[in-house]
Amino acid sequence: MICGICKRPWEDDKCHVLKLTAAEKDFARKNTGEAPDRYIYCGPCWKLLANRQQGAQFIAGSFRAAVAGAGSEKAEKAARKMLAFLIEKSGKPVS
Amino acid sequence: MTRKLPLYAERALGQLHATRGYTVTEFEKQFRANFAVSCKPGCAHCCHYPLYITVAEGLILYRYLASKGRLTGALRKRLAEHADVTAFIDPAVWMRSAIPCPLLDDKKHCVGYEGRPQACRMTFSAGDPDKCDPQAYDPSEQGSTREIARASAAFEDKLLRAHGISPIRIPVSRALQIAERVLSGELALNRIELTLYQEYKA
Repeated sequence: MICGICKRPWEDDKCHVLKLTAAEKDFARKNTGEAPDRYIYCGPCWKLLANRQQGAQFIAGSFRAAVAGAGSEKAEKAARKMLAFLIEKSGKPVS
Repeated sequence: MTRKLPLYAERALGQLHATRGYTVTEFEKQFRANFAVSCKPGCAHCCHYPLYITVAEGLILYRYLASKGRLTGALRKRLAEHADVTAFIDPAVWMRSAIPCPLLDDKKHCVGYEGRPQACRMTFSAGDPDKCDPQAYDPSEQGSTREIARASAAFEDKLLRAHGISPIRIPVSRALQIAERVLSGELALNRIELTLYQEYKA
């Protein structure tokens, strides 16, 4: 399987597969426009994303890089806001 | 415990230590001659970068920490957590995740500063230090360090191979853990690569 985060190929038994519930799929469709049935993470990436602080920092950092790469000067501020939001929301189920 | 290693290994470590010292001093001299260094104590952006070192560098660093009595329970705990989260991780994911170096204390000071690895010694900021933030890092703004570091790493590889020591680079925390096992006599130097491979397979 290919990890959705680091894009490296991993043996199936070393991957963590997250199947989305109907509510999660709806949430993903509304926010990203696409809703795959499952997300695949390799062991190292899953370990990192499952960590409340590190996982949020990774997502916010990737977000900042994408926004800055698109030429926005507000990347830093937006990423800080996103990090606070992610930390606050982590652990809570999608409603 | 920092027992003596076989003569061939001690010789390799001594040679590595000497050449590393020379390379770093020369690099720093040249860098400071051309740029105004803006690094200062307490700024620890680069201490969140991916840091891979050889077990040989881990041995030098471990001995330094042991000699200063800095291998505390808190440090060992940080090493274990860091080794767990950085095992087999992609460097780009590590960079974006801003994982603090296990050697950083609560005040953002390096507990192994004087014995820190070569990569740390060759990382300087010239300009706005906030641009060193790993999550805002722009590789295109990086200076000449990479080429020098690559040449120096190639030399280190050759030196270690010549002495029959593994030049594989692993996360700093893992290198220190392996160094501890080597220095306690639990793990032989020629079993390092096999041990890492077995860990990967598990």
